[in-house]
Formats: sequence, structure tokens, C-alpha cells
Amino acid sequence: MNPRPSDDRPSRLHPASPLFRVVGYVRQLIVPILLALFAGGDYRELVLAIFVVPVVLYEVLHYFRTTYHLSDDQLIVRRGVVFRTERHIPLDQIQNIDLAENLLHRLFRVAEVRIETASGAEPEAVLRVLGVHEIERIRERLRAGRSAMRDASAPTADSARESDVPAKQAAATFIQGRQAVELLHLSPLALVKLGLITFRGLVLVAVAIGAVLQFDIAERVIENMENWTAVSIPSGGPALLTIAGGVVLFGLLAVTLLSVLWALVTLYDFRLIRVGEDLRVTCGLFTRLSATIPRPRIQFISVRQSLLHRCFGTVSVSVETAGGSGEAENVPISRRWLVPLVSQTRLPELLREIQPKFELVDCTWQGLSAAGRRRLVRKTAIISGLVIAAVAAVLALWTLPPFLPAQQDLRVLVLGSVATAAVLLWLLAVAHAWAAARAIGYAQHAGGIAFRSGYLQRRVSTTNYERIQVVALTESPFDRRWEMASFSVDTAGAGPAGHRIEIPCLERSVAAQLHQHAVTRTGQTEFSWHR
Amino acid sequence: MPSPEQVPTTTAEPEDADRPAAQGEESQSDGTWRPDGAFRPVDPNYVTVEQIGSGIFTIVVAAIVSAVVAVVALVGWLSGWSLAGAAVVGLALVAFLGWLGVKLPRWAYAHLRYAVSETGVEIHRGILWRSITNVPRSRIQHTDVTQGPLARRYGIATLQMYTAGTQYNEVDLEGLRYEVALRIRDFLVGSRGTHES
Repeated sequence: MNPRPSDDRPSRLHPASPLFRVVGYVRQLIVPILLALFAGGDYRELVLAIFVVPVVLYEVLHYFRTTYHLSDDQLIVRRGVVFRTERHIPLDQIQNIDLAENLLHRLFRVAEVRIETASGAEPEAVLRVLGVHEIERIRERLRAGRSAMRDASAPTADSARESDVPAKQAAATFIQGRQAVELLHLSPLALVKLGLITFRGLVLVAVAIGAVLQFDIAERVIENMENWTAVSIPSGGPALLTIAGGVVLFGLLAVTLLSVLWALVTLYDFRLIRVGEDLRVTCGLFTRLSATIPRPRIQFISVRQSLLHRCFGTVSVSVETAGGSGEAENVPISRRWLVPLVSQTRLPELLREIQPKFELVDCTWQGLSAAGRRRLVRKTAIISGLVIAAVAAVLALWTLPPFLPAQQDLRVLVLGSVATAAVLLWLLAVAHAWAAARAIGYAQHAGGIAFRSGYLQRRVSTTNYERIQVVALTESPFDRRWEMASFSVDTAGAGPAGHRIEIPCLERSVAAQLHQHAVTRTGQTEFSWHR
Repeated sequence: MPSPEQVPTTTAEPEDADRPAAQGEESQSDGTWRPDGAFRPVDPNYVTVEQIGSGIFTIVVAAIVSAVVAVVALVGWLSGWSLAGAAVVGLALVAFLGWLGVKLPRWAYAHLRYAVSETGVEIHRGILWRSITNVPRSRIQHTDVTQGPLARRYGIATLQMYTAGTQYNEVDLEGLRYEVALRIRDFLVGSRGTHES
């Protein structure tokens, strides 16, 4: 085990850093700059100088005043031109090191480094930019530190696990002397599938539909079309609807295409590999992203299967590691979205690789009691009934004069269709609630708790007792009336994945048993970021 | 595990049927506190502090309401019976808030129980929406003992326990007697060996 050499002296960032930081600013200042270029006139150069020169000067100064230093057990970052700050980050607290390289970065062989610890929503240190060799050196230092830490605290199974290589050894490459096992590779075809499944841009479709339904816009569009194509389009309701339908269809197609393109570009050549106890994700066509997740830091695993997923027989897996950034803008595949797409048959094997301690596949699932299910359905029936009735009432009022001509037949027709639609919608909501209530299940396995819910979008999540932080039992007044309670566990970083282990409408005795068991088991375990 | 209602009253508080008779802490405030896992209520001064706080809030609301009514009367939006009606509604609102401000703290106190043992802390709270929250000792990253100015005058404090969780990242136990809060804190975070925080 090589000793952990500390740096002799602090190092600076890569010399190209000011360039990248200026480019970053330019993106923010693009509007004033454009204004200057086009509206500045004779003072164009002066205006540009006012905007650009101070920024460049500042960034150059910043470069000279920023240093980082890897000591025995800390990463020390000093920065600041006027107000100096010195940040000490204990090496064993560092949880994730993420990289982002766009085309410009690759030209200079540098990358932007984000270092995160368990606490907080933002990266503790963003080093913009470091050379790739330097990054590998830092990563190796951290890895060495981590395994030293682990050997000190739990010298039993971890070292054995590293040599426990699964059957899939086709790509037995070595990275830094440790075996790398490729767990997943998404081909372009898979990415196309992903684009179709995730269907990003649903919001755009909704907006488009809303806009199109404004008949003014549609009529104007028709006028323009008539002018351009010299074809007269019959006016009136049916034609309008057809055109509206055509526009919507076109919009849907465009959005699908965009979604597929998005998947192809941001997740290009997606690879998930395991290097010892680290899971590494790399992807991206123009902007290459690289994220590392140490396996022991995984707090929570959630498997998601939407309706579209089911058509293709795939699922997606996300994990929670503590301290993940809430909104990761530059990292669209945040560490959490570990496996964007994998076939259902490969899922068990993949889960075993990701975190063998978490059980998700061999679970004896228990569902809610009949009374609990009835309660959930009743709740949805009442709430959706009220909402739908309110909306229907508003729509019905809208059809009365003076909004529409007082034609008896038309009014009856509209009222009738509104009423029918409302009833159908309500029945649909109740049916969905019934299916969703049946889909709720939980399982207490040897090491932890698993929970599944959702009918259209199925989600299964699991964590183990070592990762559970707080156990809670809650009852609303309605719960008390029905002698039920709701059981939940809290983990580090749970929630943002969109699924929490929170089981509603359990019979009180069942809830109490779950609660007691969880409290006992959790109390018996020690929580550590490293194991 | 002694139920709180069985412990006799030791202080001379004004008789009030709503107040439960539990004073378990008063008799143990001189160093005999033990993490025995028994359920205890918090300090009765919690009720007083909360009531004063609610009182201040009610006074502020009363001021706002009377200002609104005065403005409405002056400007002339309402007058006569409708103005009187609005004033009555305002009065009723303030009276209701005042009543809540007196009753709620008592009810909350009656439903607030906690137990500290070797394994961790369990807190029962809630009047209508009730909950039981368990924080294992090993999961507490660090703690704060805080006191507002009013709480300081009455000798109570809030123990804030921080975990690595998300929804329960911070678990508060309010209304503790200050010395007891310190003792619980020392017990929870003290002598626990190495712990990464």
C-alpha cells in the first residue's frame, strides 16, 4: 500500500483557466455584448472594452491567486482576489469527483472538476480547469486514501470483494493498476430508444396545444397558409380542428425528434464501469461528462419503469448519494441517474454490481390491507371528484349566454358532452387510484427495507438498515379514525430521486411492527460513509 | 416505564384542568437524569413561553385588523351595518386567535413526550397530526442547544439534532429544561468513539 504523499507546495490551476472562465462569463454577458456590437456605433470598441477588459484582467488575477494543495488528509483550496478564502476539505469526506469537458476543454486537454462532500447542495470545490494528468493524480490520491481508510475501519470483506470479479470480463482493462469491469454501454440505438421513452419536451407539447387552441392564432395561421400556398381552405369548425390537429401532430413529431437528439448528444457513448469500489460513468458527445460514485456511498437505489419503458422491456436506475446537488445544470446525467436504460433481464445482475448489499430482486412483497386500499381509492375519488366537478361547473357556466348564442340544442350538446367527459374522467381517476393502491408494496429483507409504488410509473426503491437515518411513524386524524398509520424512513440524499420509502395506510399493528423492527435494526448498526 | 400521568405535581402552578400533572423533570434537574428510555414530558414552562409568544402574535394581528377596519371606515368603502359587521368579524378573529394561543400550547405540551436511551431518542408529538420520530444515537451528526430570549428567561431550550437524512435532517425537541437539554446533548454526542461527521 503506497503511502499517501502530500504535495510539497500548493499548485495552480491549469494556465488555460482564465480563458475558460472568461468564456463562462461571456455566456452570461452575451446580451450586453451583442448590444454593444450592434448598437454601439462608433463607441463599439470602447463599450466592448468596458465589458470585456475588466473581466479578463480579473480572471488573470484570479488565476494567479487560486491554489490547491493536497496534504496528508485534506484538500486545501485558496482563492479570491480581494477577499481571500481558504477551504479545507477532509479527503475522506470527498464523495464525488465529477468532470465536464466540452470541445474547448478537449482541445486543451483540460477539464472542469467538481468536488463534492456529503453535506450541502453545491460542490465544495469547483476547479476550473485542471489538466487531465493532474486530475488522474488527484483521483489516485483519493482512491489510495479511501482504501486506506476502509482497510483501517473494516479490514474484512472489502479487499476480498475487489478480487471477486463477475463473469462479464470481456473488457478486462486495467485503470491505474485496478481492474475495470464494464457494466453497461449504451449504443446509439439504445439512446434512440431512450429518447423515445423519456420524451422530453412534453411541456412544450402542452404549451403548443394551449396556444393552438387559441382560435385566433389558428385563424391567422390559416390566412398565412392561404396566402402562401394560394389554396383556399374552407373556414369553419371542422377544418379548424383538422388544422389544429395537424399542427399538434407536427409538434409531437418535432418534440420526439428533439428528445432523441438530446439523448444521443448528451449521453453519447454512455459507459458505466466499476473500478474496484468506484462506479464511473462517462458519456457525452460535445460535452464529455465523467462522474465517479464510490459504491459504499450509495444510500438509496431506485428503479423506475414508466409506461413507455414497459413497451421496450427496460427500466432506469437512479441512486442517491448524500450531498448531491439539487439542480445539476451542467451535469444532465447527474450521479443520481446512474443507469438511464437497461433491459429488465439484465437488471438483477447490474444491481448486484452496483451495490451487492442492497436487495431488490429477491423480496417477498406485502401489500396494503383491503381497508387501506379502499381508503386510498376513496381519498382519490373524493378529491378528484371535487376538482372535476369544479372544472366542469366552470366550463358549463362558460357555455351559458352571453358567451355563446342562446341556441338550445347547442347548449344541451355542450353541457351533455361536458358532463359525460367529467364522469368518464372521474371514473378513470378512480380506476387509476385502485390500480395504484394495489401496486403499493413493501418488503422487509435481511438487510433493509424495500418499497414499491406507482401504476403507470412503477418505482421500486430499497435501502438497508445501515443507511437509514431516521425512522418515523405518523398518523393523521383520518388515520386514527381508521386505525391506520404511515411509516417512513429517511436516508441521506433521499427524495430528489422522486421516490421515498413512505408507506401510507398501514394497519396500526403492522405499522408498529415495521417501526419497531426498523428502530431496533437501525440502532444496532453504525453509520459510516465508507462501508 | 412510568407513564407521565403517574408522576405527582411538585410546583405551585395555578390549577387548570387542561394541564397534565406530570413534572418528571423538575425532580431530576439536579443531576439525576439518566438515559433510561422512560417517556417524559418537557418542562411546563414550555407552555408559558408558547403562550406568551402566541399572545404577542395575537396583539400584532389585533393591531393590523383594527388598522384595516379604521382605514376601511375612513376611506368609506363600508359604512353603517356592513362596517359594524366587518368590525365584529375582526373582533371574532382576534378572539379566536387569542383563545387558540392559550389552548394550543397546553394541548401540544400534553402530547409532547420524549425518551432518551442508549439506542437513541424517540419523540412523540402532535395534537391532531401525531408522529413518532426515532433518531438512533449513532445517526446524530451534531447538535445545537438554542434558546430564544423568552425561553432563556424561563429556563428552557430547544435541542436540535442533526442527522445525515434529508427530510429529517434536523430533528428538534423543544421545551426542555436548559440543564436537561445540555445533559442530553452531552450524552448523545459525547463519548461515542470515532464518528465521521
